[in-house]
Amino acid sequence: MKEREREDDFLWGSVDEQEEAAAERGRKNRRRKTPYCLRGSLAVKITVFFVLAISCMIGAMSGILCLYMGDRGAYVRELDSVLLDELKACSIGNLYEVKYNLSMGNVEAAAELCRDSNMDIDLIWVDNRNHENLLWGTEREYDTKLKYDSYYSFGDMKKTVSLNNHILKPDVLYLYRVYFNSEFPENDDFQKTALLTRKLYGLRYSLIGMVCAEVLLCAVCFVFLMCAAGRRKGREEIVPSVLTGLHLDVLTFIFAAVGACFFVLLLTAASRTEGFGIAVLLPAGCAVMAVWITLYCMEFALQMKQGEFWRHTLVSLAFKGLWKGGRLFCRGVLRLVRGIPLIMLTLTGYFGIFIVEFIWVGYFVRSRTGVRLWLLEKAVFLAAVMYIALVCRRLLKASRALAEGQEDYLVDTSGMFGDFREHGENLNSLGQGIAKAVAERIKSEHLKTELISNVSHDLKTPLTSIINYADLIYQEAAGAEDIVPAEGRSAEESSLAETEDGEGSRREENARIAEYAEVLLRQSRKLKKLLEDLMEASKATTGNLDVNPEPCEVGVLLTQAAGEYQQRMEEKELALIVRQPERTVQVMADGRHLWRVFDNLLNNICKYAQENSRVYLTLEEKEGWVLIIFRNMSKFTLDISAEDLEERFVRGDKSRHMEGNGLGLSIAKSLVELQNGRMEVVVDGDLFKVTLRFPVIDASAVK
Amino acid sequence: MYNILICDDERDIVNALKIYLNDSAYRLFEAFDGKEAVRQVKSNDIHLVLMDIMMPEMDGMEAMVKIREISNVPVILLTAKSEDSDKILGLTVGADDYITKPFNPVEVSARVKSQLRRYMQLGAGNRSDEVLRCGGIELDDTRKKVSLDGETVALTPTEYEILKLLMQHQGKVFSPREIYQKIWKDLPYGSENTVAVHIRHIREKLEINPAEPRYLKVVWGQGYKCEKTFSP
Repeated sequence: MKEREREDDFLWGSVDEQEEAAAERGRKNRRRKTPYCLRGSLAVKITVFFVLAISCMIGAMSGILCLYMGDRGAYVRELDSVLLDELKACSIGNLYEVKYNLSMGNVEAAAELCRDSNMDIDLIWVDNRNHENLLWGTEREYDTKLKYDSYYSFGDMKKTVSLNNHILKPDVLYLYRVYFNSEFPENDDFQKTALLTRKLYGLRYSLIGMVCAEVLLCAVCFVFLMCAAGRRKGREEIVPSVLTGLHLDVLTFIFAAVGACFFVLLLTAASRTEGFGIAVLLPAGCAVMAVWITLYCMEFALQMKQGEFWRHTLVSLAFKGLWKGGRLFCRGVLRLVRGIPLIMLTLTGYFGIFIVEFIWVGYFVRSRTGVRLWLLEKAVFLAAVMYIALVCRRLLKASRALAEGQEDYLVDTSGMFGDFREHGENLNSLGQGIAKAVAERIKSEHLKTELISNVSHDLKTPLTSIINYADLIYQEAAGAEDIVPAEGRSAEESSLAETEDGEGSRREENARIAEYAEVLLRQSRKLKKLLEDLMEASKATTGNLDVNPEPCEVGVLLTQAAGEYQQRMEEKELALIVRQPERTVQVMADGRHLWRVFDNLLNNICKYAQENSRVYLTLEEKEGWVLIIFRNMSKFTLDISAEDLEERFVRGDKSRHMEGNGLGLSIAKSLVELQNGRMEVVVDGDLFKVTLRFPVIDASAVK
Repeated sequence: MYNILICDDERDIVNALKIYLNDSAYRLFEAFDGKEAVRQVKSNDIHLVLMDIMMPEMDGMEAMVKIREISNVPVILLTAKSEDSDKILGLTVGADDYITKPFNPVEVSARVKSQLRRYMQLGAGNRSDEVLRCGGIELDDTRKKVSLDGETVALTPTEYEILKLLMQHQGKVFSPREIYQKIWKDLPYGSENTVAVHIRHIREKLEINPAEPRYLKVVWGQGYKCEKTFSP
């Protein structure tokens, strides 16, 4: 449908318009080609969504690991010291068990704990001379840097245990030296910890890179999704989503509430999980959150793109309501205040001030004379205020009367002085001036109408005689020509001397007179038409015409006009094609004047249209306007601008070899404008196009 | 033999009219102002008055009021004033027809003839209820005959039906669609054009000036109607 319209415009638009339209389309196409395809595709969008979620997850996981490693000092310390810390944390449990078993005297059990593990323990007593005495130790066949010391006392001991000739005392700190085999040959927790720690340590810089990369990827995906929001394949406009019906602030609230719930849930779950569970749970949660936020942002972007998103929010609606209510309230108050007469208003104001001052005086002025003076001042003040208010009221009345059009209203300036008096006198002279101007204007308007009517009468009366006598001469001469033979015969009886030659010359003379009379007649008729048109044009342009606008069915008028002109068109071999919509289209217009417009335009067409061509009369409704379009192909080259054609006395054919006076279009334009319409003339090559525009009226509203 | 009074302050126009109306059936009287016209009507048995409006001594309107006091003769106003308001005023004061200057002589003689026929035939009155009347148009449905000022006019059956419909409901405006439905007994489907063409033809046959019809009026933008006339 749109394409068709465009095609139509292409056909009928001016050359400039065409070029512009083509260029515009080209620009659009170039701009549209790639991004629109991608943005519109649903599959691409879903894929990007997935990429976003996954990269978010990976990023979060890497981030957590980075933090973990950082916390462990992986970025500042050697691998061994980091590893030792990890192993230390891991070995605390075993160490305690060994200590417990030793305190119970179960040396064998203690040794058993270390047998199949990568850990070995020495128990050392440091004596007073700072000498280390090995009390007990597990077998160790390796030398390692992975070892640490820690001191413990046994606390209360239920048994007396002696190790290596030393009786263990409960309140002495013993040194436990823990060794780890750096090869980790045994398959135990230490091996696992060491493996993981070593691997993570090796990856510690890659992890940072990973985080950066994922953040970048997320950002790209996010931006793409924002751009793609609301785009669909094959649609140029923004397509609303399912959620668009919701107000933006409601939507924000829902998204925020659900997001917050989920976040709290995630934190609770994370606090209950330990170890690597968190490393999975947190990234997954992050991914879900990211998707959730992105969804919201997409909706937000969509509403932004649709424009006026602020207007769709509930808050703005409420705000608007409040604003309206407030304005109504203020207006009401203002009206109430305005309703109070000036004197009352002044008095009220005066007494308001009086009461405030009275309270103030009552509090602070103690002396009697002070109070008296104040009262005196107030009395004088009241008198002055009342005087000014009275004068103002008089002046106000006068200006109001002036505004209402009573130019003869006079202000009573007695009792006024100074500027008030001058103002009053100015108002009086202003009123007189206006009265004079109005009277003159009415007179001149009247004169103008009179002039048109009188001139028209004075011109028409002699013209009537001219036309009639020219007609009479013509008839006589032409009639005589026919009668000549008969006359000749009668003349034969009286004088036989009448020769063939004489008869011939008289006939010739008559023919010549008839020819001249015909010219006279034709030209005087033209003059008559010109006179009538001139009168009409002057009436139409000055608005000196009764216009009674009423609902007028343009379709019917079109049909009627077509019927009136059918025959004339057929004579000129013009095919009149009327196109109008199914439904009735009404405009406010005066049917007679509108017909006059149609008459002028169709008359023009009959005169100037190329024979054997088509004439289009189209009625359409577009954007609140009713368009009536007349289109035809001109017989002559129209080397004249449309604006000039609308001027008076301008005609399409410069050679002026056609009848007509160039007033038709001007009259039509004036008449259309009198009826609140507009007329546009477009000349495009040989195409002559007149468009009448009238505002649409609602057909259902008018009975 | 009909007596016609021609009244205009322009002698040339009076003379021209006298030439145009030069017919053995008419006897022509002339007057050059309103007073004279009234006098002529009083003293002669005038059958029709052709009168200008703007004249010295007494203007056409005033003269017409005076004439109406004494006689019922048809009065055709002949004037250069072409405003609608002037026409309406003239017709309400009592004129029977209105011709604007510069006039077409053929039109003048046609209108004169029409007014005379109506005036003379109204008294004779062979009026039956079967006959529909609108001004000078008579439609006799029993004989399927239409006449204008007593002269039979040949209409095609469709034209006849349309005219009958309009004359049966004088004053009512019919849209082209309605007319099509009533005459062709079918929905128009965009062929309302035909109605407009037919009506144009009827107007050409029944009206002296089809562009300014007296009886079959075009209500632009609404439809067509047969003017309601108050025939005595």
